[in-house]
Amino acid sequence: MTKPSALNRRDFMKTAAAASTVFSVPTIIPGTALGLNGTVAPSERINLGGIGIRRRGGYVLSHMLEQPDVRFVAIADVRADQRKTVKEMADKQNGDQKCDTYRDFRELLARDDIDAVLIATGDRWHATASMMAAEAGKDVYSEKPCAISIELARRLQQTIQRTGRVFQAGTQRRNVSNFGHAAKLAQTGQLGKIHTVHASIYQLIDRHDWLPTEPEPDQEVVDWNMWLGPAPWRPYNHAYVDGAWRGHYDFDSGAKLLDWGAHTLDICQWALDADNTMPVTYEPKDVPNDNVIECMYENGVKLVMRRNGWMGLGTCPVRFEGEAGWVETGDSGQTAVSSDELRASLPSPSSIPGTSPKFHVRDFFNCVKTRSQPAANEDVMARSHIACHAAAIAWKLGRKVQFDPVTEEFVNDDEANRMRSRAMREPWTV
Amino acid sequence: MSALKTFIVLLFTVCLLVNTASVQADDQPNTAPEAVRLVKVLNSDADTYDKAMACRRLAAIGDAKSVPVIAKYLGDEKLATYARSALENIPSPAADKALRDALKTVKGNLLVGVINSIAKRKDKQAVGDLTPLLADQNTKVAIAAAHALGAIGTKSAATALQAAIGKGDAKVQNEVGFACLMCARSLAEKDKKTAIALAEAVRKADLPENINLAATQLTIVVQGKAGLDLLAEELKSEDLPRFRFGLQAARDLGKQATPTLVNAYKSLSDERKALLIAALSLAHDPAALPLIREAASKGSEPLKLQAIYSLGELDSALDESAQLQVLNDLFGLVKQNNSEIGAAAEAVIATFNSSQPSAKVKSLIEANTRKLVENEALQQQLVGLQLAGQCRISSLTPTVLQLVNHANPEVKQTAIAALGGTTSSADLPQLIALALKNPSDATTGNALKAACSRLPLEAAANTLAAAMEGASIAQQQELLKQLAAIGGETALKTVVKAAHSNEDALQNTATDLLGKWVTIDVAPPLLDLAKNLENRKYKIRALRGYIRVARQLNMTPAERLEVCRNTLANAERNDEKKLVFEVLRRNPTPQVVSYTIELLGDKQLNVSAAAIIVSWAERGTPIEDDLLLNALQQVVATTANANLKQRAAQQRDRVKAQAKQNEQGLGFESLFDGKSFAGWHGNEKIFRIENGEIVAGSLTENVERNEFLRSNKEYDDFELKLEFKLLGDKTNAGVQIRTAEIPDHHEVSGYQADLGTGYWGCLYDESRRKKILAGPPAKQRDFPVRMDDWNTYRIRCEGPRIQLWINGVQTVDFTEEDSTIPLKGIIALQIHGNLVNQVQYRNVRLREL
Repeated sequence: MTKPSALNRRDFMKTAAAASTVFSVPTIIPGTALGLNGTVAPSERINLGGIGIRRRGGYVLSHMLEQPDVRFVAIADVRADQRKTVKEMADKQNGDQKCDTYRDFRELLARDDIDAVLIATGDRWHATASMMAAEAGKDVYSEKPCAISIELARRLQQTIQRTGRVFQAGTQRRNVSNFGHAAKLAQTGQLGKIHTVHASIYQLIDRHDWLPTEPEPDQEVVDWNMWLGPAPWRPYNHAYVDGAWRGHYDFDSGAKLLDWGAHTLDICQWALDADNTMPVTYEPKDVPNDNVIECMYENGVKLVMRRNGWMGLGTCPVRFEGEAGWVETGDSGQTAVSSDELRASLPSPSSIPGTSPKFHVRDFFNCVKTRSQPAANEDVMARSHIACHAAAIAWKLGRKVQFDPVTEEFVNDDEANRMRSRAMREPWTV
Repeated sequence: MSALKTFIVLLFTVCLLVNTASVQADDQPNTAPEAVRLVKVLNSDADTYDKAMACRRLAAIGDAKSVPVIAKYLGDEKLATYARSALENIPSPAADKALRDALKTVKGNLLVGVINSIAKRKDKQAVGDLTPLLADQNTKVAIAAAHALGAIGTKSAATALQAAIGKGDAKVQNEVGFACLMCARSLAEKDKKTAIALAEAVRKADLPENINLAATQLTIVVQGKAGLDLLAEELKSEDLPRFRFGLQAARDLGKQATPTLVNAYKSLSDERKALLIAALSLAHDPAALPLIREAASKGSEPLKLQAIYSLGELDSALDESAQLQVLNDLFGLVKQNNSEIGAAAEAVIATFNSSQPSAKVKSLIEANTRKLVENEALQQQLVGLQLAGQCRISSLTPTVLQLVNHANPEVKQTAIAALGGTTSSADLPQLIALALKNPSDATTGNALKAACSRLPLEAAANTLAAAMEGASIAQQQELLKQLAAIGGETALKTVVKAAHSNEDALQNTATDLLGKWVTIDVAPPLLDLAKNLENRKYKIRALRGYIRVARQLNMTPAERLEVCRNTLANAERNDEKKLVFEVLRRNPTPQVVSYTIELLGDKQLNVSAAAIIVSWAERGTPIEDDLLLNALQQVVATTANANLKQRAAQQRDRVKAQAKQNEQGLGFESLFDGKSFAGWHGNEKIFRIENGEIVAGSLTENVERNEFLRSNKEYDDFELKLEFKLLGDKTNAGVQIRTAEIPDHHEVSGYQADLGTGYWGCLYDESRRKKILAGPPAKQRDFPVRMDDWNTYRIRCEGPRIQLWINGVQTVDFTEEDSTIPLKGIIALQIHGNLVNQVQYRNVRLREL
């Protein structure tokens, strides 16, 4: 057995220590089993592929490339410029020119030497690509929002379960210590009985217009048909491809509610130990310059989604309020609490921002090897996402809706139920 | 782009909000009029967009009667997805039938789509039609059929799928395999036998390993206890993926798999033992404890490491006596002088300590840590110090303080770091003194920061502030940094004071820290500094810090706008002005939009303001139509930048069309035809029609008395919209609502949505209570109005509630409490008497609620 190199191991210890003092640790496997020793046997190495990687995806990928037991071998992207950028990034890390490029990710999935994929396309593709990857025998790390509708979120979870794959949603705050500590304060009763939790969301937008038609570019430069993928047909405009797809119903999730909500509601579910359920009512409130949606769990705990009124602790803030105190935290890593007593339990200030997937990607790769479930696994993802979608539907309807967390249907509400799913463009099948 | 396009946009943004009459699709005698209209669109030669949006809306409101025309588009390459979205969601058997019928008419990819929609609806009647498609020459069709049968998941679907195993194209075989598993999952509860048989059939078929593994896992899990034998087999496999899937199946089985895992352990290699230990700990079954403890004490080094971490994972499942045993093991491991094992054990001990430990657990950790700290052996002492810090054992502070002077630099540094965890409020002055001895030393600084971050806030701040007295400049700088890190009242006061000092270095540090402050109470002192500091560099820095508060921290919209105004008033350079525009762009409240329109009037700021307005429109930012439209019109009218002017005009036309359609959709109707006073009566010497506008009064002659142009009809609950323009030095006009005529008198009696100098946006009670019932504070009344220009009025009356908006800015939200006041009456447009002024009204429209 080769002795693990000191550098990697020490890094890893820090990871473990940082994580373990705060919340349930992703189980740490010794170097030889994980291949943390720099001389990873090919059989123990995780070959990784990427699908649709630009800004956020590039950031996640940079953390994946740092993993000594992971090798990034192929990128599939509908954009020629992104194929080139990502290949250069991987080749530089790997010290060779071997990263393969594909326009059509089905060719990447057909390779049997690839163990796992990072999916960081726009929302419209996440679930479909994830399910296709799972059926092709790949483990999946998918950026959020992982599914564009209630129906797809559940179908994705079922597909992951059926195919026996490991799935991690890109809701990395489950593996960021200040969020973990805040959740723990709620879980362990240090805040007293929790009555209200708050999840930040971004401005909601639901567009149904089509941007002006432009001539389609050469397929090799931007493959528009492939870019659209499972989304319904519409005429090309370059702005969509450059990021202006956000807010458009066909491409975005829940009128943008899931942009932050997929993270923040998820953290609330965690804090409430409610990963096995979700709120039963969702009610949009008429608050100027905000999109307040009040949700209620069956046990009477209230969940408030809102844009304003946060303390300035960074993006994606959450707040938990109990009879004995409150805690608020956000991406800056800072945590505010209501009393000196709660303050005494705060861990040392963290230098890891809430946007960092550092521990989250490691959690994923650990689970790829141990076949255990990562922190933001498919079950956790499905319920957080579905609850977010239910809230977005309430907002679109402009009225209170009731939801059954078991059947995942709105109660006696045909109108809302008809908003749970949308058709997938042919020929995509999952 | 046709008018309908914008109308449909409305359907999803506004109409759903109001038109909530639930549509029971089936057997509903009356199809919604909207659905009838949309069906007409689909039957017309409307363009693709209109038809797409008609389908989209019909997905929400369509019924059996909409199905035939929607089904016509199942063969349309552009519209098929939209049509299927509708059919998938219309809860009528007619939709199922239309899809089944389409199986025979559409081909290729479109057929795949239809099959997928049948799958979505889980149409049991389709099994017969789908079964032959499993053998379709087009593999995409065959695959879709397999998935659909899997999704339908009935016994007959299972039979069809099982019969197809091993037939046809390799890809189809794979998908049939997965579809069988899909079926097996849905049958697992009701018909376990069939489910197991199906999973077994897949397992025995010649299929790729990932499918075989999934089938095996399912076979084990569905059988539960009866699957444990198969699990044991899998765990013996040479093949690593197979072994791992065994662990995964064990995970699904939970604790009942523990004995099987424990039995498998002995004969495994160390790598696999480690994986198995990890799996065992994740099941949180205390029954695994003896094995994991054994591995932690006797395994090879990597196995030991895994076992140690797994003990941490198991923590929450253990009772106190087991926890004490484990901790004794861990402290034993710490003493083994192996740095990696020691560090792992240390990390796990810290886990135990942070999980609400019992008193006994705590005291065991404390006692053992003390022994380590007091131990002379270097390695043990270091681990002890780290544990003391991590576990925050304050009773060890005196000992740790002594070790700060240790000859070995590693011990010294570790001891300093540990103080961050052990220091209590009482010991804080000592830690501060240590930090001030060498203010540039990072270890001490971090230790102090760590201590202050958890000690009582104001007490810590006061202790730090007190140390400022008599400290050197460098020491004061360090103290300021520490204060800024914890924040709060005392901290802010102290740092602000330093920013005002005469010492350049302190000013430098303090303004820098204030620029990063995280609470909004920093805003007033920053503005003060921006106005009053003499040093230009710090002055600018303070101003930048000030506008940053509005950008990054939470404020009410009013506070934020105030910061923007103040920053523009004090900014000398474009750099700071740009920051203001960024804040405006991100916070498009009606007030901000109005303010941005105002800024168009400043030549130097016009282009920046125009750019924001255009960007709002282009991004589809939710801003009320009236307000956005006005903003865009103002850009077109004022900007010299050709590109912005053109883009603004384009967006104005789009928003205008959209607004008009939105209003039509909501049921607004025009009350004034632009040509005649049909529907109105009043003094036509005063009220006249010019250029399609209602005009009253004059800019040269005094209007003698109040005059009103009155509607013939009375209204109770309604929303009224109109545009107005008042000219003159002192002006007054207004819109009467829920008003009564006074027989043979020029006056009327009732509520007036007021307009004019001093009264903009107020609700006045004309000839009745004769007072302002509600309105913005006098100073703020001018704010939403663009003088000498067109503005919009929106008036909403619903029950006793009356709301007013000028240019999209709400000015009144009033609820009538006097039940004797009538809530119904005429509408009348006023020109006020005894003034030289003119009023113009246009675009008067109303919808009844």
